[in-house]
Amino acid sequence: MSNPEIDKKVKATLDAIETIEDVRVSSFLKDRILASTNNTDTVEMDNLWSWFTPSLQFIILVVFMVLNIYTCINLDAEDYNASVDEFIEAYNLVEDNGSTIF
Amino acid sequence: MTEETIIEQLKLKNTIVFSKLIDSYQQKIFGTCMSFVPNKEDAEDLVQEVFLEVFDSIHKFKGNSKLSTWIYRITTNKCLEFIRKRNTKKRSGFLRPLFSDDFSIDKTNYFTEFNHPGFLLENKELNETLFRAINSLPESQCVVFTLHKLDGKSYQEIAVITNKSLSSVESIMFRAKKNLQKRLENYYKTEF
Repeated sequence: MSNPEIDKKVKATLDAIETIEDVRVSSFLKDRILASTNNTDTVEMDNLWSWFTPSLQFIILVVFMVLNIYTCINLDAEDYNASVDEFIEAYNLVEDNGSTIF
Repeated sequence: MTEETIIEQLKLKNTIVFSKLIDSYQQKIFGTCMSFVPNKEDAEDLVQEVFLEVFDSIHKFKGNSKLSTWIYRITTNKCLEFIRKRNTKKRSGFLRPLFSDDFSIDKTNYFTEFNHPGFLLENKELNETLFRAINSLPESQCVVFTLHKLDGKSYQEIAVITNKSLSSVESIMFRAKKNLQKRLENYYKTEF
């Protein structure tokens, strides 16, 4: 191809800019943008709890369960001792260390 | 509503004002994005990103320029960043030859898939070649040429958006035109 032909092709390519038509934006884009600003708020809320990782949640759960079990055991022992004392008192089974006249 | 009031309300995260801002600018921003990226879906994603940035970063706006200029600056940066990222992704594993001026169809380049509803069928090929050629220019030349020739902005507007002097914009535009001509000539020489 001779130079004038290349020049013609180059000119046609550059002139093609003028033929590009305006494109209208989709009508739902505004709603999408507004919805995404709301999502950003949710993300920010999520970020507040981001430090509370699953491993940390598990550790806290284990500690909570251990504390509960320990408290239950202690409570049971106290209840048991209290009921035994009550029984001894009710049937007067307490050992009398006082002296007798006999 | 004055520009100062709009900015104040945006800083207070007033969604009604933000909604009005979208009404006023979405078509213009979309037009600018469509000048940089040849794909309608990508351009709409970019418009969304621009408005989110405006909403989140309005407190950083110092008022040294007009609000519209600041928004166009964000738009231009977002478009360039997007093209850069897409080119890097596409290039993974296929390093382009260094120092190459060649913009002929390169599958590692973002500008291989066009979905530009503004391209007329009879000029589709010419427009695609032009987009590839523009995007093979150095970034500053690509920005100035795109904003002026495709988006229809004046040299003065481009100077404010790109933070350059008017003479600098004119000089970049001159070099862009020359380079583009040269690249197209080389392209058609190898084509035939």
